[in-house]
Amino acid sequence: MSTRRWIAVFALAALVLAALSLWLLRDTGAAAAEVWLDGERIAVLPLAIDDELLVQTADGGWNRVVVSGGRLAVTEANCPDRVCVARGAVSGGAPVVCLPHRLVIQFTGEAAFDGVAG
Amino acid sequence: MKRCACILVLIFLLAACAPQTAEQTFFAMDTVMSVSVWGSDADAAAAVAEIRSLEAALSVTRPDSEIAALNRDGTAALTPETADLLRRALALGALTHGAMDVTIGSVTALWGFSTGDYRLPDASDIAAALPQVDYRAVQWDGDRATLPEGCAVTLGAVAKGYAADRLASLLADRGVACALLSLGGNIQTIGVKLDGRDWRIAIRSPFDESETLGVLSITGGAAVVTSGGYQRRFEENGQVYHHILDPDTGYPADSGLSSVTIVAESGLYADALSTAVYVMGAEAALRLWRQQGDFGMVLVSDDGTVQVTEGLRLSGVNAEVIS
Repeated sequence: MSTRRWIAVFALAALVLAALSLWLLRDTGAAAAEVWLDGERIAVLPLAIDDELLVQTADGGWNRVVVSGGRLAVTEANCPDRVCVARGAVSGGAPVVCLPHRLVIQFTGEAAFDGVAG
Repeated sequence: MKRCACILVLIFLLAACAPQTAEQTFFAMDTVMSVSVWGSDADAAAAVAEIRSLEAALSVTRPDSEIAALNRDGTAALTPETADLLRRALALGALTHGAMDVTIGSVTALWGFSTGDYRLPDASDIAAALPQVDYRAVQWDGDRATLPEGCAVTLGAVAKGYAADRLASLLADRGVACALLSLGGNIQTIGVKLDGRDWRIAIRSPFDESETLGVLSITGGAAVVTSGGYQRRFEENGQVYHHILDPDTGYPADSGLSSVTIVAESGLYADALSTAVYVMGAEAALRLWRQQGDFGMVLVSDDGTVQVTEGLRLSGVNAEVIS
């Protein structure tokens, strides 16, 4: 195959992969978030219900997790880089992670419910 | 090269072809509302605009609304839609033997529930306003409604349900096949979900607002309305007063129920019944249910027991099925 052909094939593959990764990481509007601290699941938060959770690590670290209007955000934390806070409010997609605190918040694909009455 | 370009275009199109939801969350009718439409942003915007125009026409607290004018002057020539709504609300008052009565406005005003200025009224003020609460006393001349002296209308028990019906109709006209409305906790499902599965509507727990008490499986379009004292209340001298007033006493209803959920085709009907059932209590509610046969009900008693009428699918909670 000619060089031009190979370039075309790779360019195509790169585009497909780019589109695929955008698709996979999009805000899926998941319905619940699982909060894992140090490898242990400590809470499951349905995104349809406004809630607040203060996660505390064994050595004085903390992250404030807020669910509001169907979105989850880490609003405050005392980790050195606050990457988790910078992520902002999301309703799904890639997990929200605080590496220094070993905190991972991942969104479950299975929707718990579509709406809450009352 | 042409073929390559075509393939590239196709790939981009596929990546963009996600099911589109247009969602708007906004504040109206003194509460938070959200509209999720499987359609365009313009469809969601049209729904919001419709709510705003309904609020302008019906709100007791807007000085230039039709209802405010009716209350102020004792009479008003209503628009056909508002006249129709008022007639239907009064008819629901008759159906529920006054357990839901939109002419309770003068009493509601004493408590300040519409304005957020909550206060415990003097018993003598309530006693003076109570005789004017009577859905039978509204006079009609075409679309002109006339209220007896001292009587006032408040559509708080039916406005959100009515709005949900109006939105369902508007969205259907716009060709939207699937939508979910949450109007201050009044749920209206429209059409069938994209994946063909039933809608799952959870019921908020009246005992802990961050928890739910069971999930209803709803097929197709329906209204799911929950009423409970927990939704709006204040405390004075150690006593809690909530917003669902008993038209017979002028005081918050105390029928042993903490929350009532009604499932019906119409939002107006479900909204009116949820208030009426909360006031009348489980026994009278079950009689009404057997008599009407056109709605489903989930009753949560003050002691935590949950009852669900036969035909409703409720999971995730221990409920007594009533037939």
